[in-house]
Amino acid sequence: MLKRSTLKRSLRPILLAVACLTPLFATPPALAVYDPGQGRFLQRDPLGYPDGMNSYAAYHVLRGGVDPSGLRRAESDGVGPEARIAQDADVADRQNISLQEARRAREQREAEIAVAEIQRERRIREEARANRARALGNFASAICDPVAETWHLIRETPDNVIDITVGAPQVDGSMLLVDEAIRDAGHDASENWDVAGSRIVTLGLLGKEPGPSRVNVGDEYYNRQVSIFLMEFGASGLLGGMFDSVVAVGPPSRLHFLRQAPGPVRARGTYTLGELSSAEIDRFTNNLGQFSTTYLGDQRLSPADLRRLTAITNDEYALYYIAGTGRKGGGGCYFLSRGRGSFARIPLDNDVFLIYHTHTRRTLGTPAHTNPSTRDRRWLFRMRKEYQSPQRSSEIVPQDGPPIRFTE
Amino acid sequence: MKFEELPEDEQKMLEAMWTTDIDKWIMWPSDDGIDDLIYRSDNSMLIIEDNELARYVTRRMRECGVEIRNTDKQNDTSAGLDKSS
Repeated sequence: MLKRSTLKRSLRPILLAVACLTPLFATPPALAVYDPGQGRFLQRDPLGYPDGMNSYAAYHVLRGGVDPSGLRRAESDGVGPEARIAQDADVADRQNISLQEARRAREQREAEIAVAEIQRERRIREEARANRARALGNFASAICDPVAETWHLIRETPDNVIDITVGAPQVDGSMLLVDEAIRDAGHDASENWDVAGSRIVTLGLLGKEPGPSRVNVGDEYYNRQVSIFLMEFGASGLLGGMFDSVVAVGPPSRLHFLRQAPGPVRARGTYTLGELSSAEIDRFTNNLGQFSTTYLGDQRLSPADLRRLTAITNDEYALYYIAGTGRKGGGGCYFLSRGRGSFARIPLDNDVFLIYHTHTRRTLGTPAHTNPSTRDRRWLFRMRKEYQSPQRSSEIVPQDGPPIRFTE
Repeated sequence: MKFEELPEDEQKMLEAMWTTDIDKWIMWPSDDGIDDLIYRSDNSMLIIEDNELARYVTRRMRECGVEIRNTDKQNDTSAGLDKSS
């Protein structure tokens, strides 16, 4: 009679062969479809969690690689099903236990490792969250720029200095402060903020040139290297209240808006006289200073709207469009620029399109205010000559009569 | 239109250009006798509708030493710099 241990030893090659072949016949081959767009597999890793808790991760092949069986790495580093069975057999032999007991012990160890991994990842996430909260805690507002993957951190110092800092989030969730990009020591809160209940201010910047930067209330900053922050504060005061809107505009190649102004966005070209709400009229006339620019987003004011604003304030208004990255400049946005009775300021750039601007009655004297001025034509000339702009004409919105198209 | 005919606040606004804000502006020479005034921070052009007024403003800007830039090559910011006296 054979001893039990001898029987086990003699049967081991057979058991091993059966165990090795079982997964091949008992379960269909695991197919892992890799999606290079998502950078991960569309199915769970058939091995479970060999590389971490993300079983969908690109666990062992480079982007775009293929792994029809889903087992390539496991096979190459010796922890595949066959290798595991061999290991179990070896453990069973050394510890004089059954293959099943060795497998159970291994699975328990793997489960413990998986639990430890979960706990470790949870701890990392909690630490990251705490670090981020600590990093942002000193700031009145923090806006994530999803394109640049930076955060714009805004705070007010005790001496009414507004500080905007660019922060780069780190892997551990902490914030690496890249650059103290803005410091507006010239801002006078009492003068500018107690007058109106709501006001738009441009804080400007993030320019490539470091150092202090003076920011003027109601002013606009736009150029290739500078991001814009338009902020509308509530009645409760500078940075003490809510941000009604925070808008950031980057270079045209990555024109983006972090948070658009609240309120419904109306379709283009649907404006008629009187459609502007009283709040909008108030916003465009009383709360904005001269030489200011309002971000309108998709809102394309009509000639009638501009004429009405001009009639109220006797200032020139200009509506211009900054092209986006879409087809034929789609995806851009409209801006409303407010000038004064006899002058306006309009940006020059190859992606700027002056839709129309108003003339006040005293711009060139009645009825000549319906004519384009030399400077109006000059703007078109500069745009064509200096910026290779495709724009060849624009429109003047006089106080009387229909818009008048003019060319260079 | 003469400068003196403007409302007082508009006069102040324009006056600030050559008194306190002269560094914020660049002047691009123009062949029509009225130079173009460009606001540095947003590269916007000041459009003064009245030629007489525009001529007056540009003259004052020149007198106060606004930076004059040749715009033949818009990207070459160092070219053609000419500090007016």
